[in-house]
Amino acid sequence: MGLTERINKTDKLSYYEGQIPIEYVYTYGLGLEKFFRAIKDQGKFLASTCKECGVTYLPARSFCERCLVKIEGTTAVPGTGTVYSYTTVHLNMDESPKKEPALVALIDMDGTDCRFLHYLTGVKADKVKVGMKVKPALKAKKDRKGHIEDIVGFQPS
Amino acid sequence: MREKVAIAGIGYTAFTSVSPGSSYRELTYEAAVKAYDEAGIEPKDVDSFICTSEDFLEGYSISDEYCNDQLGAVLKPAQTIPGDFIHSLAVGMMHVLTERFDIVVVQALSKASNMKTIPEMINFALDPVLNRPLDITAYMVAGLEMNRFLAEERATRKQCAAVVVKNKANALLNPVAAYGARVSIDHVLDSEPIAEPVCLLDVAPYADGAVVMVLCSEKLAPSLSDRPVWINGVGWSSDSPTLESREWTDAVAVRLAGDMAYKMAGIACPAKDVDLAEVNDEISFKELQHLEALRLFDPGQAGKATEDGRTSPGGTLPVNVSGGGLGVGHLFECSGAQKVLELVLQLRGEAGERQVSDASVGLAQAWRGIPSTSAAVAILSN
Ligand SMILES: [Zn+2]
Repeated sequence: MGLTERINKTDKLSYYEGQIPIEYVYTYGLGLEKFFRAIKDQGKFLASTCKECGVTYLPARSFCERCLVKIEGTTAVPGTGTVYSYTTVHLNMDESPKKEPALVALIDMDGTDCRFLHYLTGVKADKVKVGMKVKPALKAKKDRKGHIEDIVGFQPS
Repeated sequence: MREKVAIAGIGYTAFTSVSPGSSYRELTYEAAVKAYDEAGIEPKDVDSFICTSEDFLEGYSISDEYCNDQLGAVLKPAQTIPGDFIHSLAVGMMHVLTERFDIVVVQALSKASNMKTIPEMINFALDPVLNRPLDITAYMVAGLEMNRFLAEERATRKQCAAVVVKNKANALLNPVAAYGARVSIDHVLDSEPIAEPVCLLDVAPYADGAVVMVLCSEKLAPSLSDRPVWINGVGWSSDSPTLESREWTDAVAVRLAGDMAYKMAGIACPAKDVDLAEVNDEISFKELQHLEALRLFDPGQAGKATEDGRTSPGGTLPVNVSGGGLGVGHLFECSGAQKVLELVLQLRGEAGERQVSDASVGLAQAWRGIPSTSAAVAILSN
């Protein structure tokens, strides 16, 4: 058994180009629905706490990923936090170069056990530090649509 | 005592940046016939086939359906694991241990060069509501993680670059590695930034290739192989998929997968008992993070060990002698297969110029890549 010949001429190589259009609708579910509604309508960050283990999730969730118990109720948290890490990103999702490098941060969110991923705005890369305090910058209320882009980013507080 | 499971035959293609002369089926076929030939078996002798395949990476819905024919598994018991090869190896081991299957075949393939939109495909693994709308490369996850790793002084930037220097140099001695090169620390630091501090040379470049292995029971091993390699332990674990709620600096899932495998293998002191390790190095710093998670070095010590040459060939614990992902290539779900393959060659004493002397226990660790946390570990011995 085994192949005894191979294609060894580049001009004899053939291929067929295929593609499939892929589109989805991602429903938010109970937890995220409440979270994004509160951002849109009140400019508030809603978290939720597991009664079993005490972990506070942000965005709010409908069940605990550790205990698997149902989580009821939400609490507003300030939306402020501390930079846990940051990176200057040079490529878009498709790896085309960004016109301007983007500053992205992972933020330890006050009053929660979670971090939040978003852009850092109003600060130059060489001024950012791990441990820096930040606050959210939201779009004007009339422009908010109930999704992640309602948040412009986080800026030094 | 529990019966042992042997790796009795291996077959593999070269790992290459492109493979235009072969279809994905022919890559697996090449690896399969070599493995069957080595074990002296035919497909009809195989009791169970386990393939490793992920729809988006293969370009098929239900890619399971497209795994059988090139393995001789048509109309035979066959199944697919959408994880790493080491997950499949663990399942194969369990099949043998049930004593209902004497000979089990495990396969993995990467035909990365068939994929025109790999960056988008990797991005598609991010949360669609919270993360994807930011329209940034998924490597930002590595940038954030590496920056924090450095901020906690777990390693220096240069120690991370030293991983690249070592692994690409190791690959020069591996005839089937795609990306062997002599590079310097400055080459790495000066390469194009992607998501700082991650630069182009910190990232394992994609490669093609296939690996097939024949597993069998202890009682059958002598008739299939005169140099069987034994699977002593396997383990696997995944953290939360959510970037917002999971652990960042420590690869906790890797630690748990390692501990599970060590327990099964009866290894009490990994740093002493493991002779060589092939760990995931898809991004330079991950090798250091993974070595520490696997208890092969204390936290914060793997970088120094790399700098001092202790993880180089001839060091106290050679790591990624094969070249790893950085030197061999990023093989997606076949990544762990390349690592297990290297251990088999080393433990048989067939690794040629890169042979590690007196190797008797080896560890292979896979990670499913950005932005996942899924880890799998296998411990082999001769
Ligand atoms: Zn809980």
